[in-house]
Amino acid sequence: MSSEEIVILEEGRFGVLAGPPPEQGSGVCVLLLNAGFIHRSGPFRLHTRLARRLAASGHASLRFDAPGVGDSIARSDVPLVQTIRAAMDVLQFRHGYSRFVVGGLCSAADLGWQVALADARVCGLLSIDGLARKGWWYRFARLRRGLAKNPVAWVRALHRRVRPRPGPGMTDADLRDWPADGLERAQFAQLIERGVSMFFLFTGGASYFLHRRQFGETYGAASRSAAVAFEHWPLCDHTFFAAADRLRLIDSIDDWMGRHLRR
Amino acid sequence: MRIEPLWIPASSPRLFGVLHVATAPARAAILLCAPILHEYVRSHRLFALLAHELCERGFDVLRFDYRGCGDSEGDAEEFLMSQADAEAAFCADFLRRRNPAVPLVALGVRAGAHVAARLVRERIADALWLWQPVVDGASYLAGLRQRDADERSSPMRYPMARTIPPGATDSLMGYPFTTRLFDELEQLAWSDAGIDAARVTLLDAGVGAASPAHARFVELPVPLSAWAEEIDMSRVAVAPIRTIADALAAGTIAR
Repeated sequence: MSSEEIVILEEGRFGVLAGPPPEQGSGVCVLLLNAGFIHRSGPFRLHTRLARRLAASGHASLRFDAPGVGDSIARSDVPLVQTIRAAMDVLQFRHGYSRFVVGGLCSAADLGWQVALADARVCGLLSIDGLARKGWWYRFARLRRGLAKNPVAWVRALHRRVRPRPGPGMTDADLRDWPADGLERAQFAQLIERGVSMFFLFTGGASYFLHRRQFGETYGAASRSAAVAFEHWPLCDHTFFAAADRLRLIDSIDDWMGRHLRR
Repeated sequence: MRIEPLWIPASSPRLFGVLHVATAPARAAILLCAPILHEYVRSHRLFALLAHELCERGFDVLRFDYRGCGDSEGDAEEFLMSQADAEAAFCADFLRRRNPAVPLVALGVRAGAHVAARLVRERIADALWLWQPVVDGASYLAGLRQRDADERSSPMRYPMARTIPPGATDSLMGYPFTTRLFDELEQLAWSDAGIDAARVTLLDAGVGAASPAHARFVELPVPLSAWAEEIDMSRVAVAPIRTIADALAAGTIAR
């Protein structure tokens, strides 16, 4: 068991720092951001287990709660990107880390994207069920799924279609903190140019991601860069309910860190 | 008032805790014995906020993670109710040493009610607050197994699956689950033996024939009781928590 240390952040918030000091191991610290309202240990304790695996492989990590989540009692008007960068400042000036990987699951992937764009200390991005646009490949996959349905399912689907809805439907982009449509390609290319390594995973729980080729369609030619790892696990759910899926994720991130984020 | 994250001193394996320290000398100290499995994560924010509100009303509150849970050391496979009893006693001792002159309340949530009750039976704690206690382990387990099966077969959770993922005998509600823990939970059965009902406050949506004997009842509104039936997280409303904290603070606690 590697030792873990409590780190006091701004405004009385705190986090748990795991892994080797910056002069040992990879020198990288992974910031595990909250997945929605789930506190820092993550869905089904995923973050705690991931932190300990990464520590064993020589990578540090900090798991902590954003304002208004978990043990960070008070909400804050400070933009979240600023809050995360302040945590990076604490890790840099008090603990010596100067290279960071940011991100996580769902809203954490969205926030990680913004932090990566805003701060040059970010050298890696973890994006699990993060940004992807619906495009031709999405529509193709949806049609293919529809054709594979039995007649009863077709009737149910038609019924849902014609049933009056209480208001205008929300799109994924409405519910998520994504950049304006089309901006992501330039932002992606900017991160690649800066040397940021990226790990993208889409699960079957991401209803907006139905076909592998949506990834390239969303991010363009730069998505084929050697700095980018991409996985699509359609049989895995959004919060990694099955222990085998969590283990597979931890293995994948650990492997990616080892290949892309060495000293 | 401040929040002090800490490793419970001398605990082995190290147990993580969060101590909510009142501004003035505390009128009582409260040890929170958390629920288990998915209920621990699902309720974490609720009880962080309740601890905060109780602290504002003059209580010191210690929340801690059992071995293999949250930020404490250990693998999830190592969690056992019997060890949770010992860990709670250890944390109670730490809290008592910090607050030697005031009563100690054990607040047990769901299955954690059994952990808290043991502290009162063994005269480690002075009062018992029970939040939606699990009174019958066998039916609790049966309910969890059904919910686990429902989750595994849910087209909402697995929209791309054509077949139901196989159920695992070594996990429950997404958490590792050993045979020993299964046996311990199945044998949980509430008993009022050794507990003075005058020292018991029950917090629940209602009182039934199987409810623990108690002197005081605090009715939980739906936002504070429905969480036990849900798995997905949502924002926790603060106003009902303040009402419950007021009700708890209004009672007298004797040593």
